[in-house]
Amino acid sequence: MLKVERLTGGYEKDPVVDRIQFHVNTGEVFGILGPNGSGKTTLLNLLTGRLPKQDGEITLNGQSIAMFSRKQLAQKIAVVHQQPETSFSFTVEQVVRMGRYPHEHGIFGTDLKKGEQIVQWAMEVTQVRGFRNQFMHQLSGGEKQRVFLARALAQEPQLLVFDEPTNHLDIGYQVHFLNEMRRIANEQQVATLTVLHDLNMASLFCDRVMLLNEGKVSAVGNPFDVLKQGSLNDVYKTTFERKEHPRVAKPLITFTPNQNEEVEASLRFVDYKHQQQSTVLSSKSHMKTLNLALEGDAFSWYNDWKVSYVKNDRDVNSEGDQGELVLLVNGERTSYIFQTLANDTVCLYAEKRMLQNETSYIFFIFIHQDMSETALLRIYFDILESVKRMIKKEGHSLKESPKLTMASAQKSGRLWHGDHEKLVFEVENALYTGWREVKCEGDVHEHLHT
Amino acid sequence: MLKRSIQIFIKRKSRFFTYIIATVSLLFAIFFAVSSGSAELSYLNIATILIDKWLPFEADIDGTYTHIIHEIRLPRIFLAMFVGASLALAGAAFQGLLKNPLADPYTLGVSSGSALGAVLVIYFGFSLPFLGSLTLPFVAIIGGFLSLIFVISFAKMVQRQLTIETMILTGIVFSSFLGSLLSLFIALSGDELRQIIHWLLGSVAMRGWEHVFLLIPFFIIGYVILQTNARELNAFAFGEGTAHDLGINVEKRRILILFAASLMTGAAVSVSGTIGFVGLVVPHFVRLLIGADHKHLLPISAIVGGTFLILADLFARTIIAPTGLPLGVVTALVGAPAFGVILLRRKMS
Repeated sequence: MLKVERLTGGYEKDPVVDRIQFHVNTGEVFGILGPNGSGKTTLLNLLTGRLPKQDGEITLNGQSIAMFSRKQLAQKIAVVHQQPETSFSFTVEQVVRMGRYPHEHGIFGTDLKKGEQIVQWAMEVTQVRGFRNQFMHQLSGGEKQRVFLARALAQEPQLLVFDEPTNHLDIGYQVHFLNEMRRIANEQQVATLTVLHDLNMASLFCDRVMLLNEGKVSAVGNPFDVLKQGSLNDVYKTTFERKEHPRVAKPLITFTPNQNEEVEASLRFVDYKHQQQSTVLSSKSHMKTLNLALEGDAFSWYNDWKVSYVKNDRDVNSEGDQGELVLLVNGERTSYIFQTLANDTVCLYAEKRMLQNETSYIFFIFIHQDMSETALLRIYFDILESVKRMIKKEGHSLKESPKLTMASAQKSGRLWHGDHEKLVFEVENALYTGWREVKCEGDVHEHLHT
Repeated sequence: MLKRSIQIFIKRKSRFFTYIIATVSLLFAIFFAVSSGSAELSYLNIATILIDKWLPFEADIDGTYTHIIHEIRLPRIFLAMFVGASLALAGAAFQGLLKNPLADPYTLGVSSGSALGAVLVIYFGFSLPFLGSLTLPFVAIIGGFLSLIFVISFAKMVQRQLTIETMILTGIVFSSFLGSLLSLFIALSGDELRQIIHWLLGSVAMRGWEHVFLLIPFFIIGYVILQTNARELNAFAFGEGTAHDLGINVEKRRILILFAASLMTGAAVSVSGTIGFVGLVVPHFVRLLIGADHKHLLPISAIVGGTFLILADLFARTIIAPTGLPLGVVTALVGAPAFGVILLRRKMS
């Protein structure tokens, strides 16, 4: 539909955009990303003819847009701006009707097509018809933006251009508006091009995206291929982290804020509260917890954990934001505390609880914050193996695989830096010692046993 | 809420009635203004005189009354009407084009140019051949145009892509420059002082039909241009970017609208001096009634502006008769508080 080739242009002598090349297909949502000053606005101005191009070619269905008059271009390209404000009171219908301007001719503005019907249709599609007689200033930000979308649709364009359409909207309206935009692009088979600031919005709502950097195309294609940590870091001069969306195959981009306080992560900050059917542990700082419950993310942040003494994990009902830590193995109900391993670098808390022939173990491992989730999972499986081995050594039979939930405090501080074999060894060691230590006396142990 | 629904009711269901009501009020104002004054005339008298003049019937009437009505009151009333209509139209156009509800016909310095031209004529007391008493309005219109051309070309020199902000800034700076020139002439003037001041305060007194006929062609040209650009003005109210993307030739339309509005302002100022607040308040008031759509805002503003100035002039000439108040003072006395009320109401809704 829209094809841009070697487009160069900008203000006065030095071009802001330099040999840009991309295309937008019919019915597709194409996103333009880039830091401030990367040429997004200039590109839009070149597309809508507000700036003259210096070199290259912009074609719509094979026709160069330089051939079109102002009005002809407005019949083909419609723009939705970041909320244009006006101090005057227009009704919704009046605003939408303005979209017919490029199709009106002569001094009386005779619409050669059935303009009235199209105005009504545009309001229908964007669901603003219900308040067509209301004044613009009576509407919410999201409704206003839908009215401007309706006006753009009334132009019957082949290409819809959005210039940061969600800039002044709260997150709810943003999601709603972008869903709307996608739906319309799809239903009406309009090529849609949008400048977005938010990387995640672009990732989630665009079929393809283009990343601009200093007037040049840094990458273009599927959000999965374009939103790469490395290139984003280069373009935005910021350190990003890329995660996966839990439901759809789109990347999520996030970053870590500077942390002022160093949180010392250790068991001294964990409180225990024993109840009849459970033990509740809580800590001042959140810890990333491997969650084996059927709901929620595998890794999420918790600062309190409930250990329930139940027969199996189907009976565990999670309430609030407490992480459920359940490990069911055959055996007795016992609690273990392991602490201060290898000069305070690894802290581990393991609790073994028994109820009706079921045992649960909880482990806390405090590790360095740069450790990946994958590494954590590997440690988890290794520890699981160790636990199984120990249970066998102790002569218990293993009816079902023990489940461990691990919490790792990913904060800087006196944390573990070593390789994971060493950690597993120490965990194993700790388990052994701990197991022995159960019968020994210690202040925490005593407290736990009562 | 009630106010809103009334507003919508007026706007949707009976825009036609708005026109009717506005026109009827205008006719009433004209009639009322014709009948009031130092020489009291009954409505019957006026009707007979008008019928005698305009319709092919003969009536038995006093010649003095005919003279009072035809040569004194009617030209004065029509002049007030056209000046009011011109200023209101120009105000509506400037506000829409500049996307600024505080703009008025004087924002871009056109009036200062006109005023300077007029003051020059009074100060030097010259008269151009063939023009006679029309020398002053003629020079005033030229002055207004020169200042508009100067403001636009200066703004273009500052920024090649003519923008609203630069234009407003240039207009304000140029206005105050011309204002200081005016003050200079006032300071230097002797006998002409009273005349200059009186002119600057604005008045439609002591004018004749020739002033009305001088104003009418400018009014018609300006009005036709503005009315045919009503849809463009609607788009300009959302900013020039929006206007451009809707397919409007922004540069051409902007110059056209500026030209028309300045033409009307210059012409109005040239015959009546600087009469403030009509161009600012009337469009605001009309927007409250019928909304901002320029297709209807422009004609209704013209009618309301005409009515307003007729009534203001009536007030000015009758309140402390036989001395007349300067018309500009009356409009400012009424207009400024009215504008305050409009602002307050906007804030409350």
